Amino acid sequence: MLEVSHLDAFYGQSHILHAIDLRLAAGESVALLGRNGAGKSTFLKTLLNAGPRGSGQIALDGRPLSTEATHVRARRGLALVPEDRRIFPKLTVAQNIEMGCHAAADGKACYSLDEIIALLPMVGPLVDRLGYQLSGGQQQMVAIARGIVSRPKVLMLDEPAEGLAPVIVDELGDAINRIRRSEGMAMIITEQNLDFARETSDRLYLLDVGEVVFCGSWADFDDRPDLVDRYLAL
Amino acid sequence: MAGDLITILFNAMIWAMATFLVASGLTLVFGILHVLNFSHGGFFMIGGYVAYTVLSMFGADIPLWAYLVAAIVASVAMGGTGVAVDTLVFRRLKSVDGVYVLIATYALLLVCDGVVKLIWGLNYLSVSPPRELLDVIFLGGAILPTFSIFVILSGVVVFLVLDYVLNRTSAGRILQVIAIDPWMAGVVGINVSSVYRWTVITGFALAGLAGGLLVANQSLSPDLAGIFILQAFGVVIVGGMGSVRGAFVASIFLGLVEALSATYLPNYPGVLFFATIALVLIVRPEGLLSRQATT
Ligand SMILES: Nc1ncnc2c1ncn2[C@@H]1O[C@H](COP(=O)(O)OP(=O)(O)O)[C@@H](O)[C@H]1O
Ligand SMILES: [Mg+2]
Repeated sequence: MLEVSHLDAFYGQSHILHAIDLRLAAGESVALLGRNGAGKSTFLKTLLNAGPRGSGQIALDGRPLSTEATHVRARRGLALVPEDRRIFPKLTVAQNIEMGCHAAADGKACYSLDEIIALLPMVGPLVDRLGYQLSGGQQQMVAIARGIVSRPKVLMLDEPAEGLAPVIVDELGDAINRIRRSEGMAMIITEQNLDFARETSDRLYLLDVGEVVFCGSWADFDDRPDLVDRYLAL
Repeated sequence: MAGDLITILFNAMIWAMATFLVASGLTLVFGILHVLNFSHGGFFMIGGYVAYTVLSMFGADIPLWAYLVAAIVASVAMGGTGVAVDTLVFRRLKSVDGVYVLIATYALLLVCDGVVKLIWGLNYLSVSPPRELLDVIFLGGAILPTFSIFVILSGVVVFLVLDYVLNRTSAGRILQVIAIDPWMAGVVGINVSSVYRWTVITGFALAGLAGGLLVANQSLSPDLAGIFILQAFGVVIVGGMGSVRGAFVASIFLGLVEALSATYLPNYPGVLFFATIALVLIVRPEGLLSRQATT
């Protein structure tokens, strides 16, 4: 469904990503692992044309994305929950979620608030809170709610578990898996937390200094213990 | 005595609402795009001249409806000019330092000045108020021209409409989101560059509207832009850069300062005005109503 071939990305003169190939089938979840600075966030932003300058091919459902602006790509079905969550501070949680509905493709219905709460129960008691009043875990849940409300084809989560308490990370993993199972939404999840990534994805890509150094199933990954030492250990 | 007080308050409100009419578009564009448009007063001035040209068909006897139509024509003309300015200038200023923005928009102000001199010449021109608004009202010893009351009401109406749109509608919510985090606004599917464009069009249309509504309030000359841009900048600074509510309150505050200074310090025009702005910059550099600095 999503096909990325030979994608390069640049920040000004800095060449960050080198010839990335990635495939994502409908309903599939892949993890994108790599150290800090490997280029995970740059990859997700390049897919959305939201910052770095990209070159190469990106196709969604067989149709290429070339010069489309960020909002057009969002409406084509790419949703990003950024690393820093970026909740709109002066809007209520309900209004934050409603903002996500701008990404709904023409004529496509968004989830109702009730449907969102069924998928993300933690959001329920928060709907009238203002964005700046939320804790980190709450922000992450609301950011995911805002990301999925338009029923995107691909949900991109940038280090969702980062900085959250273990209990919240468990709850987050459950929520992500609930969305995968019941809604069949495809996902790209970047992580440094191996356990969390394993629990929420079908297979993985390993990124190092802007290049894909491994791609395969978790079983294949476990057969190569050297990978963790070389590309993930600090 | 009561008459003096009413006169001072009335003069304060005329100054305040005339200035707010000009400052509203300036502060709106700054609040959303973070572009401080030095040329705003120039487009206000051209709006006035456009209205003058429309009204010159009516001679000295101008019906109120024609006066309002002329203001709308000026507003539409300046809104259209806004499209050109946005395409040719503002879009290129997205990623450059604020200093270049000031230089570029100052250059635009010079262009406005040249256009006015070329088309309408250097002479003072004037338009008389609409025939329905030539009366005066006597109130406790003060004499209040009905046209001045019209100017005050115009400012209040423009404020109420803007405030309603910004704070009570979904379009206003989108503007607030873009003012704070345009990157995330794009990621959630909002067409940010289209909103920027419509904001510029609205800002310019407000400049044109102000020019049309105020055309009989003072005479027209190429100096008009400079006079009003200083007043409007004062209001925008004191009101907390980019806040429409702040600009409204600040215009009333500075209007009072102006009216008091005109009454009690008539030999030192402008001194109290600039002293007040300097004081605000020292004491509250974020502006008087900074909490609402984005709306
Ligand atoms: N806005 C930016 N401007 C310039 N370089 C950047 C910018 N953002 C990230 N980089 C650089 O790109 C590389 C990849 O960063 P990033 O994609 O954020 O990595 P990751 O998400 O894997 O931690 C890093 O070397 C980083 O310094
Ligand atoms: Mg990152």
